[in-house]
Amino acid sequence: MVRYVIRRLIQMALLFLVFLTVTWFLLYILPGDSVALKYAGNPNIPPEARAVALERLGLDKPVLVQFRDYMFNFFQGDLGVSFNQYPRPVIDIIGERLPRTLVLFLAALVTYYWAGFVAGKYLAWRRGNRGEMLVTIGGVGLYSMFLPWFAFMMIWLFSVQLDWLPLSKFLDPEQWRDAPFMANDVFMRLFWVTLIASVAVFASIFLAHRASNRNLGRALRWGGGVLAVGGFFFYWYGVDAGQAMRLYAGDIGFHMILPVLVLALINFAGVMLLTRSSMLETLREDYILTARAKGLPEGVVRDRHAARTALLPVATSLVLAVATVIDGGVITEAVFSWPGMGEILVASVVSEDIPLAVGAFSFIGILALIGHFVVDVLYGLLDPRIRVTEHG
Amino acid sequence: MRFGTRLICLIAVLALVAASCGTDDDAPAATDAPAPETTAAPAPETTEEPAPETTAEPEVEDLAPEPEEPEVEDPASEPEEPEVEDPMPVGATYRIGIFSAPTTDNPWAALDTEAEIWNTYVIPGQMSLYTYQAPTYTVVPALAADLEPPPVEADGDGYSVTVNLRSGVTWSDGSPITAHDAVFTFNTLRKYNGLGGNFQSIWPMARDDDPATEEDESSQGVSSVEALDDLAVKISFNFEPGLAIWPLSVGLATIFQEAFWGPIVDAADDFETLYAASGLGAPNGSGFDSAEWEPGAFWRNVALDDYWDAGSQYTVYSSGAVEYTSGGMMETWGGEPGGEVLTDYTEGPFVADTIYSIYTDQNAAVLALTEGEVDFLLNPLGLQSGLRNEILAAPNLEVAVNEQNGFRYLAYNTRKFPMSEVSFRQALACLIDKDFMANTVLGGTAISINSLVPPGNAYWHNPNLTAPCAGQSSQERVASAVQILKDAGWTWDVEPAWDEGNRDVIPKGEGLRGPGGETIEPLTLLAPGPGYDPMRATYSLFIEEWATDLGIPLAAEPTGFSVIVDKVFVGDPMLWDIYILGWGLTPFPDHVFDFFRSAHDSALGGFNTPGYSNPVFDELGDQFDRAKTLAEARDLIHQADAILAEDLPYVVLFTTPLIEAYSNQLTFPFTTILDGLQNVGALTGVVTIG
Repeated sequence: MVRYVIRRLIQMALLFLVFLTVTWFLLYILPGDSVALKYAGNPNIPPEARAVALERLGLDKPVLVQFRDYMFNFFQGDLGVSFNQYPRPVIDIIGERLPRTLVLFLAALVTYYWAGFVAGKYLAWRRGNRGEMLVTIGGVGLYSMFLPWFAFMMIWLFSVQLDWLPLSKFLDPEQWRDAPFMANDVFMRLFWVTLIASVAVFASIFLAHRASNRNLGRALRWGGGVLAVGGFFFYWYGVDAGQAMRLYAGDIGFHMILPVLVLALINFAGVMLLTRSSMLETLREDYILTARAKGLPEGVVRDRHAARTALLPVATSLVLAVATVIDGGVITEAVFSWPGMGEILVASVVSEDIPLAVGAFSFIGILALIGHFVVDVLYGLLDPRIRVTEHG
Repeated sequence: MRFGTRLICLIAVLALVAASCGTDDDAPAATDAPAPETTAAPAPETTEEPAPETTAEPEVEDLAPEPEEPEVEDPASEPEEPEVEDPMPVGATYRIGIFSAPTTDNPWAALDTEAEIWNTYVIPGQMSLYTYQAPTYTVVPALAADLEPPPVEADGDGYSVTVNLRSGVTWSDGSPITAHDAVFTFNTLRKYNGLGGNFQSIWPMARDDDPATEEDESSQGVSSVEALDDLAVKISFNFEPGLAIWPLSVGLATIFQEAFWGPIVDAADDFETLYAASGLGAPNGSGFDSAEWEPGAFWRNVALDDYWDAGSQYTVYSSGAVEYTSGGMMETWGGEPGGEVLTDYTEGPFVADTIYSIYTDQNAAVLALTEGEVDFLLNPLGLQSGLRNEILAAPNLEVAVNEQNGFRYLAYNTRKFPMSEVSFRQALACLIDKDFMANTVLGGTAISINSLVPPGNAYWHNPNLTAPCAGQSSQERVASAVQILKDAGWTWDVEPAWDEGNRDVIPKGEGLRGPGGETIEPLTLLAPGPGYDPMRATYSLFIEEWATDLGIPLAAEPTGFSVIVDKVFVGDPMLWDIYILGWGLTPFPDHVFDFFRSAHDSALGGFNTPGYSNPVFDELGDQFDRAKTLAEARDLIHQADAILAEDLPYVVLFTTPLIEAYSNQLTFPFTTILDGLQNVGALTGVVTIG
């Protein structure tokens, strides 16, 4: 296993190198250059100034020298400076956008995967009834919705007509007037606290499943859950650091509801159908018949025997989806005025800001590779039938 | 998963939502504080006569009486709650929607390497010797005490101008603005060799190592700035500047405060270090201080309590003259008052603060406006015309429609045959029915224009220009175009003719040959695609069809904006034929010469993309450079415009109205202004709310 992991890590490094190279050259060969675009609007800038700008950005060098310099700096942790926001470091710009993209799209991802998995499991289990037909048609209908239209309909309903939720943005500027925190600090705190609480809940469930007796399992499940939820509340209401941020974290959370709801409604059907078909396959397996023959309760057969195996493709899909979460969703970000990584990707490519574009893409590449790696390892853990061999 | 487990998960989720949605009763109720109605100042009544008896005291006392305390619900009861350092300022908040996030809070960078309109909107203005007075764009004193820009005089080997400064003009921190700040600004530019590029268009600097000559414009500029005393600054040039440089470039150039930026500049070896410094809260010359910047979300400026110009009275006449009354003294700027009073207002600010919220989608922004979430939408392009009816239907909104100072145009590459032939350019231009396009095809969303200076820029616009074949029917246009070409010696294998029965050109021209018998290779018309600009994309298709009627093998090719820019401004000038793009312009129309002088050929790094070369035109350009009065400059602009309308390196196609929407709770002293209210930053300094 160790040798396998090492080999996979080496493969990942090589693959990343190829990814970075291809990305850099693809962006380089795009027609136009950022300096021309920048200076094309002002005839009073002397041509010498444009030449100096090219030199300053290193764009006067041969392409291979530019590439070599970029790679050399990249692997020293220097992603360069943005051409369009000169002299702002690329890592600063990504650092500004990443937290809000991560929080929104991870929340949406978890929501629609959870909803999709639960719905898919029940659909497969109760196949053929009217509910299955309704949920499937409804889910597929939502899945095929045009996102901007659906998002605006939801905004119209929940924000304009009902006035329950904010129209857009990730905070209310008037509430944040003189805020002692930057939004990114709050985003990160929200992220970690929710992550820790969620991990605690799932850890308690995991341990409860492996408990030696039923009472201990029940105690772990309830105890862990109460502890996680209580801890979550305690942090925001009982700890000074949490109290200070509570108002602002609440505002961000409030603004997240609508975009998360829209993304969840649109996307859950994909996960639901994947789970359903996987579950239907699993239900035909002999070991399910055996479990039933042993007289196990239906819920146990469904959740502990069938659903666990059916989870495999869903888990694969989830991990890979996590990897692409940081590219955000350009449309979602635009409709909800949530400027994040998606907007950066589009803007940097359009304006030929190569360092910023490559920097943003590199984060996606790294996460995608890690995601693949996690999937490989996770398979071995989730499915005892899969064993990693020396031949990989 | 069992029921109990699911219940725990559900509770956890609900807990997250509850925590997120819960309000903090103990926190200072900043947003609940009622906005006192007292800041709702009525707009000053416009009077036909100037009001010389206007008192020195600003009439704003009534506008901001004793503030009510914000309703803070006993903050002492919960000592662990965060303290809000700066309570909400009393008065109304001017909430403005912008469509892209500012990228810097550094005013140097915002004028240079990050010269984006969104940065300009939010960063409070600095100071300059002179400034443009809205809504007429008359050049009026800002820091200068001299009512009219003093003339440049010979001084040793070069030329210089000495400007006296007004006393009592202060930075936002209350310190006086002096000549030393101007000297510091110029010396900073020198230290960093003109900084990142854009600054050199604001402060043209003389090159020490290359004395100015007639042939080398790039070495011409300001050679030094000296402080004669605190209130007198001497600016030296290494050439005799015309209006375009003095006062309309250097006179309007930004001045920064030495006390704040000096230590940063002293410590910074390169301009990148200077640009990396935060400018939030940096002293500036406006009535606001930048207070908060939440990247990607909002920017907030806070009104000054003691803005030096608050309470001053401005009366602007249609002649361009301005009567300025402050401290009991009245001055008249920009000539003798004449014509109607366009606006008469008191300088504020009358709001407590301005918050610029970011909306990355225009529909979302309009929704926010209709729902009262913002009061004004700032966008250099205005709103899409399709949204106009939606806005007009909203009872709480007003719409301002203004002319844009810009145009979309078609450019010929005059370096290549057949575009090198004036008759060819004229014939194709004759076929372009601009009124039909603007009024019928584009449904009135475009305004057909013929001058390189749009009509909205009235002082400089040449109203006597007409489009080729103006007023003719399609049949007449075809006949005229054929005649233009025939007169110049062009021939066809099959001559195009108008078929009245089919109301079309039948037969279409075939085998068109130039005066010397040259055949025409297939030509390409580069135009932005419909995704970028449907108007220009549509226009390009019609032009292709009209050209084909005449026998010109022209194909419209939807092309990315950056690709067109790269091809026509940077690339090999022989690799393109015709393109369509657009320009946004400044009030002073020096672009008329910048775009067409032979010395500014794009092959040499200039902006003369057509490669137009005309010695008569170049001579006019030289005269323009030396022009000392506006009247002289205007006459030259009119002459140049007329030459270009005949030679047609560009065919000016159309401009568009700029549509802006705002809450009917806002009162502006004027809404009619070239380029709209966005061009004056939504008038934050004079708007009243309520």
